[in-house]
Amino acid sequence: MRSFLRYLTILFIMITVSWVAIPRWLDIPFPRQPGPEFDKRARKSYITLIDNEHPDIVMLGDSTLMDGVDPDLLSELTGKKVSSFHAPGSASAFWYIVLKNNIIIAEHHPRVLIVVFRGTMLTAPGYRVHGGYFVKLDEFAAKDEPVLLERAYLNHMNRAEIWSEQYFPLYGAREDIRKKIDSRIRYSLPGWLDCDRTCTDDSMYAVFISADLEPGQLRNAVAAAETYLYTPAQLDFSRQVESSFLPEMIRLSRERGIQLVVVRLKNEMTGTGNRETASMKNYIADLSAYLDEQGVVFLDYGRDPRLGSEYFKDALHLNPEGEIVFTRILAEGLNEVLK
Amino acid sequence: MSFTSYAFIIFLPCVLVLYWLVKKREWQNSILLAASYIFYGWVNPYLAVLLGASTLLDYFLVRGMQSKPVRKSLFMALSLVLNLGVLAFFKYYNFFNEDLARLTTSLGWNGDFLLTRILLPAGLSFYTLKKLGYMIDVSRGTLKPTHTLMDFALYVSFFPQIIAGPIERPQKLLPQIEVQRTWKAEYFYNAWTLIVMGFFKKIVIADNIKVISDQIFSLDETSIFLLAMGTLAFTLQILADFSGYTDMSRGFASLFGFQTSENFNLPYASLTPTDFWNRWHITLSNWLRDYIFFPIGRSLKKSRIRLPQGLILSIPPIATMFVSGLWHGAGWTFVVWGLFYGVLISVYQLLGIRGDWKPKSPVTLGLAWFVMFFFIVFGWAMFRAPSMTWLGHILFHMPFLRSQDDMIVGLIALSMFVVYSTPLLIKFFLDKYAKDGWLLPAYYAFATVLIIIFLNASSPDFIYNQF
Repeated sequence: MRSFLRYLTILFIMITVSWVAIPRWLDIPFPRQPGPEFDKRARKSYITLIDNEHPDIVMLGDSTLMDGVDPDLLSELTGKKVSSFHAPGSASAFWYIVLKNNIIIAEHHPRVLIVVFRGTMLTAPGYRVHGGYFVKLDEFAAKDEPVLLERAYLNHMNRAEIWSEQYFPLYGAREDIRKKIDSRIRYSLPGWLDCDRTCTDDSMYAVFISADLEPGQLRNAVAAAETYLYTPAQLDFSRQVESSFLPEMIRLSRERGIQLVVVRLKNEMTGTGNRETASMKNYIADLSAYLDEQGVVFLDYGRDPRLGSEYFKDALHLNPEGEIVFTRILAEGLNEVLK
Repeated sequence: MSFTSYAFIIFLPCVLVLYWLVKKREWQNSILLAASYIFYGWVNPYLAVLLGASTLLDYFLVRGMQSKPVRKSLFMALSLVLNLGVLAFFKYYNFFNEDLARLTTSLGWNGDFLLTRILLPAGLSFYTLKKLGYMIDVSRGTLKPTHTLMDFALYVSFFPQIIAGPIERPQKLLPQIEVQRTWKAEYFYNAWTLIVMGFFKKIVIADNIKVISDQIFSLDETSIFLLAMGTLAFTLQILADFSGYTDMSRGFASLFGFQTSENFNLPYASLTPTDFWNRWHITLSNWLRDYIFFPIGRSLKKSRIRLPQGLILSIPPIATMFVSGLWHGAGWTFVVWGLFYGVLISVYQLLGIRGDWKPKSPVTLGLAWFVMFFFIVFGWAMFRAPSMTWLGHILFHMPFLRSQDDMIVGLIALSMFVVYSTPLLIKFFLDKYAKDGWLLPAYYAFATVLIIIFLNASSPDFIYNQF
């Protein structure tokens, strides 16, 4: 009893002190805006690219687009200029922000915007938005991004979390405090060996980022990350669509006079491809009807028999032969659209 | 449902209030049983159906044993086949399914359906051992079975223990289920420190040190030095993760008026492998000792074939630890890890070093500790490695250090190990020398502040949930 009361007393004192100390220490005003804060700068590199190259077709997607479509070959087969904006590890939040802050801002506007996706990526706004993915989003996001903030972050937090982020500095500033603790641990010992922050970061990059991963572990990591896309909640199209970035992407493209084309690429993960489940089929049927209603072209190659497993280098990515095969298949479909 | 999920934060107080509002034992047990099935079937209700069906089956097999004592062995054999069959199917199916599909296709049948991967129901390994222990004790006549289905079902499914133990023996848990429980403040005072420490170990220590160990073990190849540092990090991760889970489990059980078993007693302070298994996952070790080690030892001693003393000493630990390895999962890494401990225990025993061995000389003591700690860490390298081929390749073909980068990253892992193990050492000394006073409450308050700072919307699952 006494021990518990002492604990409560000390905890109360620590929390009270944190209320005053943390906002001063980290220079964060409280109450603060819940969710992450984007910095003021927004990268405009794709605007320059579009205005210099004047593409007729712009493609958006992640690494599956990078390995799946050869833009030069597509250009040759369609007779149109093609630019591919593929960002490995990107998802719908990133595609939305690039469309909003780069593609529609450019003076030249492409005729067609192709978005390459798999699974439920188009209606999963909270997919790939934390950690390293946030850094990527922050590059292209402006300071004030209410739609991005709401759909990618706030919609996925409960009321207690939102309240705590706003009014409880210990919780609201925890990302910043964690970064400080982490950097103390990470840089201290190497620092004694005359390896500064840059040297330490370079070593981390050399060992972890540029190195090959053990195939089994890589497969498991990819499977674990992809599982999110095939949960019953994500497969519920009607529940997900309005809170996703898809309606905004359709609106922005329409306002700029760009024809949006949505392309589903086959993959070998459970839930799609040859092993497509009933709920996935229902999801795709709902998505197809919605896109049709909105005037968006949907090219579905998710079950295309021409893309056999011999064309995949892993569960998600096509190999160089597969890239050529799929580019030809896509060109066929696009030529129909471009007519 | 996970102890670290938001759903559980709402679930627990609701169940607690309901549970203590009712006074009758039957009602309390009904609430706990319903809560346990909701907890267990939260993500996948089919798991609760499997649990219910297997519980019913064992309950009626025990009833059969009682009504027809002549056929006791038959009922016991049925229970063994069913329990071990279900466990083996879920645990090892994915290990063999591709070979099975190939075989059926070669015989002219379409074996594609066999390629579907089967998800191992969480906690299956734990509640199967609980049930088997109960069945064996009843068939041996060392345990009087409960006549109430609800009590038996609650013993099997008790939610603080269903996912990852402790593997409570019926002799300890059933008598507590069968008596009236009235609220006492001491239940809470016993629980809160365990709960704070459980969350602290999991959220602050295990989830953070996990980052570096996961990264090192996911590399295609690495140097021996980096592997050693990654394994050191994993050594801390698995202790903090599993003992954190057990602390929470014991704390939550205490809130409902139950006293449950300890699973850890300073395992990394062990001097011998037997000592280690007396301190690590104690409830599993006790289960294996009573139902595998002792019976094998007894049958070898009674055997008509005269075996050399060395074999009589070696076979039981090797067989027991082999089973322990298999129990942990389908994979050569677990099997070799189990066998490694089996051989180690045998060698120590053949050298005359028993589990309770404690040298008087501090130098010998220090050396014995160091050697055993080295074996423990080496064991975790096998346990955590993606495959034995991967581990063999690094140990036999890779240099000790490949570059300055390996050295720097290894030092980061070492820093993390030192920083995140320090709170556990401090706790050990506070428990020993400052039990009363303000220091221990201050430690818990600081731990709570750190829990808030490191709180994540989705904490990774506990390691032992996969077994």
